[in-house]
Amino acid sequence: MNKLIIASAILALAAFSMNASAEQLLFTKGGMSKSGSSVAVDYVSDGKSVGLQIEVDLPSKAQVDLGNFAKSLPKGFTFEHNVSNGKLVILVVNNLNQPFPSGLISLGTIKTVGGSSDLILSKFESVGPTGEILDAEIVQ
Amino acid sequence: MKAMTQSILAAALLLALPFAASAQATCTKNAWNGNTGAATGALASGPELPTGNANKIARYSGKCAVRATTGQFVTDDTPSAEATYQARFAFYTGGSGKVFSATASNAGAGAEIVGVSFNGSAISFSGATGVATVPAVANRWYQVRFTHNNGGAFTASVKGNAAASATTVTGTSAAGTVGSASLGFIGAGTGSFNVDSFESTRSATTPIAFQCRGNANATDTIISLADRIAVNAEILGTALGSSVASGQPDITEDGLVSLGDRLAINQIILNPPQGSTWCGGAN
Repeated sequence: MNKLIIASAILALAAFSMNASAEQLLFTKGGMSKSGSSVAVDYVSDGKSVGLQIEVDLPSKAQVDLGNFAKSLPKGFTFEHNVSNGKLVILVVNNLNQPFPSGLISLGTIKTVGGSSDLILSKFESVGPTGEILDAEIVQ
Repeated sequence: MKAMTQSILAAALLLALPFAASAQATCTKNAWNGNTGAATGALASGPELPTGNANKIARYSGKCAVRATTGQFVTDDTPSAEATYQARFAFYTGGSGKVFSATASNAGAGAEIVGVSFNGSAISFSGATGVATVPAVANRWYQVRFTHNNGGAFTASVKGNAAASATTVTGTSAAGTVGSASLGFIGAGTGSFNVDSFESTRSATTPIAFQCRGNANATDTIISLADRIAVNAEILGTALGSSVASGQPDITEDGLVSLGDRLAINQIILNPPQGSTWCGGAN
């Protein structure tokens, strides 16, 4: 797990330094283990987005563990999620439409228990304060 | 206007008549070219509150609509002896009376070809015969779409009050052609109607789509966080009339953009695949 966190942080910092003006979602897969799979999710904010929608396709028959996700969000942000039709939908949003602070934000880790395949990022949407969809890069 | 209309007719589209001249402009009825006397009293406005706008009103889509009381309506004289005439509009059932009338001649003159009324409990159609009424309730938005075929089949669909699907009724069209169309509050009645989102065409084969409720940002056909945030922005800006959503934020179709709309949109987002199919499906 420590290696995963360190690798994720290095990747995030490298990505941020290369393109500091753009938003990025860093979706760092931790690989499969006997118990399941995991992915570290980090977000590089340019200070414009007020909310993120992340959708992840779950392995068949897997249980999702979000115990280490969204543990330390920026002030004013809420975390909502649901699993429906094999898809995990995550919303991290500020209900006063205030933006994320600029910089690297560690959203946390999504883990699955059971299942026989990786987590697959199927949608990422970053939204500005009046509902406009912002350009954002996905780094996997 | 006639020259422009003729060129548009070639592509089968009669026209869409918005109540805003542009995204930045104030609300206006200037796109409607007939019976300006009846239109004078109708209020073109919206939820925005720029300087001088003391009359915010609910709209269905975009930033503007028209509110009309008895005898106030706007008229489109661009139809020209249309044997086939299809139209769609949205109206808020704040009153009881006739909200739409298409007649044979300009300026609402001549025989009525199609009429649409609301009596407090149902939407009914006149001009055409044998058409069943559609149950409806007061103080909700409804979209109405109909197709008139001179002396032939008449079809109308009504969708509103957050219903998942439209109700379709049929009958026999009046024998006659359409020369003008009026929208607002035609004739006697009580209360007021808000009207919005009018489009018409001479095509009978390509239905004018219902606007997708909940598509608040109007930039795509997917219900997502972007729509929720657009709704939230409008809620937060209500007092100032700022950050008004450009699409259809009132997913509950109750005339208010409120927390209820945000929560309803949230339910769609969190329960896939609704978000990606909502606008393309019945809703």
